[in-house]
Amino acid sequence: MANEKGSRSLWALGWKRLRKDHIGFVSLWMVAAFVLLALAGALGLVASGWRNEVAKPYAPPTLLKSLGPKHVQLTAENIDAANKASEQANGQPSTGTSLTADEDPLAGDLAEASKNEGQYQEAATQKAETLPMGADLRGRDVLQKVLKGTSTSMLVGLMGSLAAIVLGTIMGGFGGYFGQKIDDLLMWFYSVFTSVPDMLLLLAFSAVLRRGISTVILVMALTSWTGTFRLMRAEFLKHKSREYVKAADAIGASHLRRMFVHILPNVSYLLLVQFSILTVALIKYEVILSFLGFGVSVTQISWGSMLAEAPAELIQGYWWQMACVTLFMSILVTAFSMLTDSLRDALDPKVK
Amino acid sequence: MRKGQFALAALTAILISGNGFAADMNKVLHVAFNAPETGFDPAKISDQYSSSIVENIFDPLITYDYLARPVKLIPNTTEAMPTISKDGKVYTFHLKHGIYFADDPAFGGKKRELVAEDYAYSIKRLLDPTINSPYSFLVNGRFVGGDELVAKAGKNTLDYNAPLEGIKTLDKYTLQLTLKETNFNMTYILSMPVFGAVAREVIEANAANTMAHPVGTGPYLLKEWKPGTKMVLEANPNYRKDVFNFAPSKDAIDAGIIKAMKGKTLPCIGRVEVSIIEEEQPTWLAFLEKQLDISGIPQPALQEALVIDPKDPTKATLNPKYAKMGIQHQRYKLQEVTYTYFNMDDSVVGGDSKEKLALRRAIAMAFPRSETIAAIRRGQAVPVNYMIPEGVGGHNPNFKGAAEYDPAKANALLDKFGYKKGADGWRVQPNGKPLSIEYATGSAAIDKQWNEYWQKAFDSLKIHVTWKVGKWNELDKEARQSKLQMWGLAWGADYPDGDNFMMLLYGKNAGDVNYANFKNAEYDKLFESSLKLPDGPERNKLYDQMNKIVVAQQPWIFGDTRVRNTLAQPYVKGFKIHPIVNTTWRYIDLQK
Repeated sequence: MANEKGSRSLWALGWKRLRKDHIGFVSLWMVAAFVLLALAGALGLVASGWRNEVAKPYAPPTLLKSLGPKHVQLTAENIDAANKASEQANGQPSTGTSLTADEDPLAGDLAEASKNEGQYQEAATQKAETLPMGADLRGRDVLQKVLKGTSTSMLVGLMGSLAAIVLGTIMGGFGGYFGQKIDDLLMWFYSVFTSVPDMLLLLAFSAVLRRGISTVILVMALTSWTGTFRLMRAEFLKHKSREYVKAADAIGASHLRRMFVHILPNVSYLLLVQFSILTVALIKYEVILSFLGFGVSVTQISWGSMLAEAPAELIQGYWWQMACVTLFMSILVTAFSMLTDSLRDALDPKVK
Repeated sequence: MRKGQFALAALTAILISGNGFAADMNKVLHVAFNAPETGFDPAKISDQYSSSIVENIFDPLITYDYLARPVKLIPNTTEAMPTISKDGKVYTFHLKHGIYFADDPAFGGKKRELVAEDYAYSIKRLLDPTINSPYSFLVNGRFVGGDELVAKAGKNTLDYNAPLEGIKTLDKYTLQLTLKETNFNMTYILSMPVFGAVAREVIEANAANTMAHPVGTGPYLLKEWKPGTKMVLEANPNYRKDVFNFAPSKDAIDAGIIKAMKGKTLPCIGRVEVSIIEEEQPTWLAFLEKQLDISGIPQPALQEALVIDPKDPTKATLNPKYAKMGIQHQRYKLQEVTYTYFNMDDSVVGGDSKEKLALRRAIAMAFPRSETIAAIRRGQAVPVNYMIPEGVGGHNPNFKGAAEYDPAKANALLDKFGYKKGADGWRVQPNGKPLSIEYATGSAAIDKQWNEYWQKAFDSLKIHVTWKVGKWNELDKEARQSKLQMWGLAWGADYPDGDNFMMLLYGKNAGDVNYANFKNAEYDKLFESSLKLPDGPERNKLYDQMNKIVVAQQPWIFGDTRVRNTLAQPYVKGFKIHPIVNTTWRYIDLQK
């Protein structure tokens, strides 16, 4: 059958099957859209202004503003006004401090500086009363935040699982192919990592490293390679004694060539499935890490760090940030999981 | 008087036979702290969470009247307030007889009475170089002969048996303290939980781990301790007969408290369970679910729990929804200052040169304090403008010390001093080296909120900021070793006198409470002179000068003073916030 048309490889068959699977195909497009969004976010094409304070604190979503809490959100102007009043009542100076120019060593420099401060004055911007998805504590647009957060979370998920796959494949390949001492050593290494619960290992790594997206990716890769390792080791073990590998040996292919040019393409469909499973898992891990305060830093935003703001908001009745993140996250995670399922079915060589 | 004494002795006798014990072990009080404790050795702690426990286990000589406002000292384990010599240097305390420690194996199965020697020992422990007490600055240089004894010890254990003129016992129940210089705060200082009496046998038997083995004469004993998670106190069966007998102050709530509590033998509550809940939302939910009996209102819940007037946000009343449920609400402006310090020993932010000062001033001018008071404190705070807060002796309401919020001018100031912008748009140091500042912070959601505003301040100055994330007690340790660059702290009054705040920047307290490691000869000289003066205009003048130095040198960025809103469930009786004493557990009752 297969030798009739050389082009009908496993991948082509898989693609054909996937197109017939409507749910899988729709999921594929959705995931692709998210990936595009992530790329656009990473390149600064989308939501680059998410840190700008464009609205009043906790401005409600435009269409649902009646569903927000009723209390008044205090602003810095309220506080300034109250402070001014108490300064007057107490007889405190209305500008500057109680220090005279002689007492403050910087007085002369400050006076000089005030001549040059014009270049730094920011024009007062009109703060919006409502936004499409509402605003957060500092008046930042929740929609912008969630788009940028999607980018971060996707980036972490994709890069993290890619790194984990590469790590797991190389180690699994060596262990399975060479066996003996190398295998023993790698298996021992594997046992050490799997003996510690994933979450603890994640927290341990992130506690010693600096905050930031690259750290999160690194931590994810370091903790998630074990599954791929196990899988690849078994596959390489199985394949290394197959005839096509022996044939390659006979024509003089080196070990590395046999491993990565001959065996790897034959097991790569497993990696694709593994990749999509891991991506979903890592997106969730990133959310947990950031929620616990071990994830991205203050200047970065991810779904987890947005959700970390949610508890304090929810007791005040500001629900929109959480709703928005939940919506985006559930769409992506569901689509990705569906796609994984379909990929597994489509690429399974036993299914005709 | 004599009659009273006799009656007390008789009651104590009953107590020993077990009849005076009135605490109901079925009454369990649930409370929560928002940060972990460090331990329970009075000589080794300085944080509020640990001392909240310690003040219930150990007895200082003097304590505060529960109801009196302004606060008033009353005898605790002494017959009366100490007799003080005319020159204000010699304090004599007569201990009550028949006060016993809680049982402990170190006592060999016998009842162990509290004697004057225990206080002498406990105070000497604060001097001991091997203990390295965070509060040693309260005793160093104070007592006659103290310095010599410390010098003799060098780096070794203090010789507790050597005679010490400044801290001696006249007889079994009489303690005499002799000061080198007149000090008007000594009675206040001696009322602090760190001056609670420990028993030497217990300390020596548990030398390796005194933090985990507190045995005192106070109303409660430590029953269970899971560090950083949970502490359980139980009423001390050996506690002396103590009856609620306070006179009402002018406060309206006192009448109800006296009606509920008068004549009751203390403590009424048999068991106190303290949980550590670092996050604010679970604390609030736990209170609403009645899993906590007394709780502050966490900041995010303030707007929901209170009706706040935007014109004057420090005026607020309890939301009628909760008032109807009978929840008690008490408001109180804390006797505290919050501040962010710069480590003056640091090579980037510290130092006396004008360019370093300009950097510190610029950061102070760029921090949007009003925004944080609105958004994080929900208006329940007022700005700090003087090192001494309102309600504490020496406060000056006319003084304004906080740098004005003006990021534009701050930027121009940095330009002036050569903090140029590099090719990437971020500033470098005047010497051309990169400029990046590390700010210490916790990892809770509330810390992240604060960091957002600090990030904003540093971004507006185009200075890189990084975060050093750690647990409070770990950061505290590093701060004392001068390893942090910037950190935000709060200091609450140990006693209601300005001395307790001004000492926070005294040069000799560097490495202790002077986290900023601020060493300014003029400030130190003024501080030393201020110690010799009683509260009054003369001392206030010195305090003003010292504040001016602090404003000029900017080792601190002044923060805010919080207004505490505390709630208690309807069935908590006799509850009143005290400005100095951390906990009121021994004075309250539960009637469910």
